[in-house]
Amino acid sequence: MSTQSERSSVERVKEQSRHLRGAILEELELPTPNFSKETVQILKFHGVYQQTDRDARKAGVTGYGSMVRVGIPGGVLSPEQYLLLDRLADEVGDGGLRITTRQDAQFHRTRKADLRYLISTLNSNLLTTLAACGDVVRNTTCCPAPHSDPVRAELQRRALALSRRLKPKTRAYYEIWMDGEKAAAAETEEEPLYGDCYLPRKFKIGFAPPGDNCIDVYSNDVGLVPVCRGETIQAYTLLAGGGLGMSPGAKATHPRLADPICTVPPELLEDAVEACVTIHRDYGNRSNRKFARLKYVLEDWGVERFRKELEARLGTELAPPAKLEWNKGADHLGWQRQDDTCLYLGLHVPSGRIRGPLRDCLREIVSEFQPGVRFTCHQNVLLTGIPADRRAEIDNLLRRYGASMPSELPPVIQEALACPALPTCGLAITEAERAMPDILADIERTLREVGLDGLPVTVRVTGCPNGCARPYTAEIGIVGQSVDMYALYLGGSHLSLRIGALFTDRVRREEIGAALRSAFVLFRERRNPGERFGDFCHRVGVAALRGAAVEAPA
Amino acid sequence: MPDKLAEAAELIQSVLERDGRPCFTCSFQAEDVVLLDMLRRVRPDIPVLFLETGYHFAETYAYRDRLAREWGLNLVNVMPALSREAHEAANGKLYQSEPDRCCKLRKVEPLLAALNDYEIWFTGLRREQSPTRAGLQPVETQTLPNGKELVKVSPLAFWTWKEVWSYLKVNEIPHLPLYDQGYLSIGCQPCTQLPLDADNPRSGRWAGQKLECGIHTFNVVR
Repeated sequence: MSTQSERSSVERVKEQSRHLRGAILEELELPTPNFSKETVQILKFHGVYQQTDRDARKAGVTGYGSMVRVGIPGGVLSPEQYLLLDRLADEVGDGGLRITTRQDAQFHRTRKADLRYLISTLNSNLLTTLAACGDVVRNTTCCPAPHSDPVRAELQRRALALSRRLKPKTRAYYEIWMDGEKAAAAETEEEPLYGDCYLPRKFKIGFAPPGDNCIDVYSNDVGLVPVCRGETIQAYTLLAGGGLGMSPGAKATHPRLADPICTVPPELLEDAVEACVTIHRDYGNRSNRKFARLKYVLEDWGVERFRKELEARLGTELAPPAKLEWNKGADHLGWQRQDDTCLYLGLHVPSGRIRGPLRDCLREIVSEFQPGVRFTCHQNVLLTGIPADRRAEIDNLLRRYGASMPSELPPVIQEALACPALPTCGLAITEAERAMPDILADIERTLREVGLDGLPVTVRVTGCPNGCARPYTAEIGIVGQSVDMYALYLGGSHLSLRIGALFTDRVRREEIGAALRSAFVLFRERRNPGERFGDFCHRVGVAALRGAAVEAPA
Repeated sequence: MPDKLAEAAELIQSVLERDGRPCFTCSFQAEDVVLLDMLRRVRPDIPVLFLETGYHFAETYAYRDRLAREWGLNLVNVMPALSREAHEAANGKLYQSEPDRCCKLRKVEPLLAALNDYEIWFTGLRREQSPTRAGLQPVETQTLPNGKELVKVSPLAFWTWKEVWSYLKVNEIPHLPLYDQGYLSIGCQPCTQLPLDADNPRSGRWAGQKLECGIHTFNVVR
């Protein structure tokens, strides 16, 4: 229909924002607890997401507060930076930090009056919220394992450099939050990469070392995997067009894994990624945000045309992509050797929430031992560079605070993910994170009852079908559907290489374990040696799994 | 059945607690009347949007007016830019020559304009109604062509035909008399016939040439 070609209203808001200024400065001065609708759109580019607490609103309080996201390339923090985040969580947050699946840190329920203090303090400690949200290149992810191999170190360096290069150049951020001098008028200010309207939608970039897909590289708009000979990076395989979002209202929207496009020589890496961003800028759908991600450009064009366009923009031909092989998708948890003298420790953080005794414990370890701190894409934390002879002291501290070592946790719990959902997310239909412990205990109990205790299986729960915690690529995806009711997806892979299929609808939260039982039994009976649950479900198909549900005794 | 009734009521309650103005698009077919009855109990003044194409059956108009009067509905007749007479003077009998364009002018565009005033959109859609609705979710996000996002809520998504009718019966709600003549899915009079395929109630719409007018599928167009 003709109206489809009209630009969406968000496009107009972006264009009229004068490089992300909008009315933020004016509205910050107002005594109201909230920002206007248009300003809320622009604030996202500054890493600020206005939210309301739906529980509080039910109780008759407005409950306005902001989520503030700090983009941390590769998830790497100094001990000082970590301790600063920890302190700010008390001063202007809700007393906790949240690690996201893109290695960011989030503050929650920050009052409008505290935003400037929070953001300026972060910036004076070399942390930024700029472009943590909004239609721009988001935080660049990278495998955070601190092994001494030069490949991983180079990937970290690349992630940081790329992240700097692709930040918006507007001065608005400094004018608003740091009382910066009003630079030249916005009209003359250059935003050379993004232009006045920025991107049609968010853009995600991630780096994965060969064989280790802990960052879920296929879910990115651009994924990069080095091609190595020994410990030297010879080139990068560039993947494009991933994205796991889905809008059930728009039947043609769907999760999609990135396609390998080409091989890029190291010296062209940054130009090639930037060229992908400009392809999205120029060809992404600006009339319907549901179809605005790069994945839909790729889908319209196919890999061949995308590669040709990329070559044209780079002015050079690119070799075909290397074949990728993966042997691991799980996180880097537990005690691990870092180099000749040091260890690192990966600690499980339930749903990425650093709070309560775990937060106290981390604060004490970081203050006392000054380790590096890294956030992972599984929303966990790594403490790095710990001298091997101090391991026992840290073990003692962990025990004193009652923190579990990952090896003590069932695999189901170690690898689980949930989105925040209620009460802060406006889209949520059901609980996700808050119900996660019960759901996992239920699944764990069912596994035990059918004799599969200790089975490693990835479970991801979201409070609506939009898929923020990537449920569709999990071995068990649990997706909120209606009040306290979920749809179950089976057959994704533990390496996040495949999208699962709908197994059943209308499952009450307390019946999730029961609904999965027949599939677990069938798996126990018919699995191949060493076969993962997700691979099994994919092999036999959901129809057979449903058949088993019918045959199973009540 | 009690389960699905409670589920639908819970969903309605929970959605009405959100920010945003709700509306309900109602064709006064059986499932819509079920949902209308559930909604009016908790939100008596909810805007009830009727797509007044000018082509409905006389029975539909009479039934609409009767329920509006007896239930005190906040009925909003969503009108196209042109009256039926002016439309036919300009375009002829478009429902015969170009049914898609007719639906677009008389239903889809007026609806899209009307939805701009709301954030929550209730519908009586059910999965069972048609193969085109088999993947329906009770809560979906709907983006209007201008970029505005609405929450589209279909509390009866999982209900069967039988359950719909049993609700009407139990609650002693009169139904649209056209059902007694064998119609199973009822829209504009010129484009509604008795169903061609007993298993697909919507097969009597547009003489089997299509199943959807576009008000529930506009997102698919890219």
